[in-house]
Amino acid sequence: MRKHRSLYIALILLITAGAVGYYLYTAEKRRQTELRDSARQSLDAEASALAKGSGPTLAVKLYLYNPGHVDPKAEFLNVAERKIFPTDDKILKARQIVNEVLKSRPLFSDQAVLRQIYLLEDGTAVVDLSEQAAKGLTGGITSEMAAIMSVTRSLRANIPEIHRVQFLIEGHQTETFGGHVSIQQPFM
Amino acid sequence: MRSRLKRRVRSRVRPPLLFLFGYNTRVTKPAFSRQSSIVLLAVILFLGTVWVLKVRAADDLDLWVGEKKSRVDSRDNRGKAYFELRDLVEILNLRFQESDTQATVSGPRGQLQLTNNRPLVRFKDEYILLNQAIWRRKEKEWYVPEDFLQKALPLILAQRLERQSALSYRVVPFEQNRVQVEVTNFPDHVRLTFIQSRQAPIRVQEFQDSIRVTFDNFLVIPSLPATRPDSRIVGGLQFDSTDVYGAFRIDKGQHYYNFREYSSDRSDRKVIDLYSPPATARTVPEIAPQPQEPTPTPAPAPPVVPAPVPVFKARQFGNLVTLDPGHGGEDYGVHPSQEELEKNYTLRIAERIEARLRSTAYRGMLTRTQDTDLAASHRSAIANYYQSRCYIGIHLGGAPSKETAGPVVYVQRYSGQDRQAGDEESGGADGSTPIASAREMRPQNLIPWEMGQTTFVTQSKRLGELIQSELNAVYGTENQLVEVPLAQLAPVAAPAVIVEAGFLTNSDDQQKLATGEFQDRIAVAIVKAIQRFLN
Repeated sequence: MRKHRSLYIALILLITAGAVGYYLYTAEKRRQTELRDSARQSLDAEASALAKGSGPTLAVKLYLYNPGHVDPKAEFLNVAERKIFPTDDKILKARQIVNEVLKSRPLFSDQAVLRQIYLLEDGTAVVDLSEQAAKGLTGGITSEMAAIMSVTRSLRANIPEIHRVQFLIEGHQTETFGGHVSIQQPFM
Repeated sequence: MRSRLKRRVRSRVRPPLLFLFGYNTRVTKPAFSRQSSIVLLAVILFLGTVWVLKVRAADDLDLWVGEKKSRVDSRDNRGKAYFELRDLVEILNLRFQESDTQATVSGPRGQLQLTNNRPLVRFKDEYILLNQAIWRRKEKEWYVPEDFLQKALPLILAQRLERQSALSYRVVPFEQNRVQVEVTNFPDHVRLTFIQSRQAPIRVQEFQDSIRVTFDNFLVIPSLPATRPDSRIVGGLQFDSTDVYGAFRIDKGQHYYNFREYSSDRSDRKVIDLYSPPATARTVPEIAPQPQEPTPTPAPAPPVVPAPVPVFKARQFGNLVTLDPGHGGEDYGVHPSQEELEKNYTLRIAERIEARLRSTAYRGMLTRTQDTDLAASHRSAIANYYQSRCYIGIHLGGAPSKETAGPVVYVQRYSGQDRQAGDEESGGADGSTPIASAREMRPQNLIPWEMGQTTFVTQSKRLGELIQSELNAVYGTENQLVEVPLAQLAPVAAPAVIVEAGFLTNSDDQQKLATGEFQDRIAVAIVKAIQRFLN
């Protein structure tokens, strides 16, 4: 053993370095995954908390894009009914509604995530969406209008306190939703 | 003290790993000499270094100049690949200067200005947008992303930089295009004929003080005329070798009034007539005059100097129609596949409209002529700066459902429009109306930028309806004009519309739009509507 002392030192050092490196790599990977999923998981946590009381029994009316139409004034949206978890908290209700709207395919992509909703005293709901909610659209004015209108109308129809909806993308007030439609003013 | 401790260790402790730290508890002579240990560690370190270098070298960039291959070092920064600028400068024989956070790379055809931590490179008066920020690692050590080689570097090289494969580029000499310029002086105008040896696309752009004639694809070798153009109309004719391929600059003379260009039957030549102010008419003639028989060359200019005519800024720009090809650069627009990108279609259609407009009394001004991205406000600003007669944004549609098809024309919708129309109850309650205060709607001397379109909404609707009707005839559809709040249209102080000339997400529309013939039909329809509107 003494004969190969240096060799053993080198081996032990290499193995230790490899183990530490592997540990750091997996830890970083795990952290990235957690960060990525945190937004989605936060709602799931809310939903599971609500589910403890009862199941999704509250019917809400959603306004979803009506395929084949381009004019927001004419049959642009269809009414669909969904069940959400009953709650007295308006923000929790609004979150569930927007998340139900974001599930509509193929308008929104799987990466479309609601980051946060704020309800202002003047009746403005501030809806903060992830960048992918806008970038994941197929593109074009029709897609953007469909996304904006389905969220706006679904919120207004189910929560009377909401009069208008202001959109944010990744927490910022941007010039357009996805390159065309201006979202500098709230929608009603 | 130390030797006592050593003795105690030797006498009492014989742990199995003590030998690792240089203590031999049984023999005094080391079994494995210190020299051997050092050599072994050095070998391990050497092998490790070689391995790291090998991994890094795999990402380096190959640059071929003739048959010689050079290597540009790469470095990873926050997970993104960067290439060393110093290597590029040395291989391509460029000049490099540095001052704090800025660097300048000079080549035979101009210079590029780089700023640390910014994804922009300045070339003359333009900025080129890169997909990663420039990185200054330390003094005189700058790194650039790969698209610097594609977008910025070719602008200052006297050769073409051709991408062969991933991380492999070749410097190829430009093929040449000999362009001969002929000058013919007429009593009331000057004719410039550009005759080229290749069939390269020629573009004519008007600026405030000059007209620029650019040739694409080949390096221009100019042959300037011996005859001087009438200096009252043409202030000067120069060749600008700092342009990408080379360009001609025609300076407007003191008595320049307007110009017309003709695409002759022969695609190798372009004729440009520059006029002095007509004696009676003060407007641009409606029908383009046919090229006249030239007087013997060189014809001396008549000695009578025309009476000075007050020239206003608006008149200098003429009857311009701003054509805005949507998207560009990294903004692909609608892209159902990697080949079908909205940005390419919009540019092609806009170019066809611009070509068609040349045979009318109006002239098209493209907001972009290359694959570059422009901010929405920049596009609107171009229309406002040139005091355009109207603004046409060219787009293609994309919808979640594949059945959505046909052309759709959009106009700006402000809040309060419905109320103005007497729709007090339901006005704006459909989720599509942005809200602005009544104060913002009131006419003011200084108009807020985003309210530029306010006074043109009715005219825009008229223009939009005409285009919608013409395009419906092309497609055989009955689509209606749509009003939505659009960031590009809101600031335009002219009749303005966005045309989605079919849906790329619809297979029928996409197949039609892929053909040049159909793109031309769309261009003809839009030009027809523009003429009907402006006349």
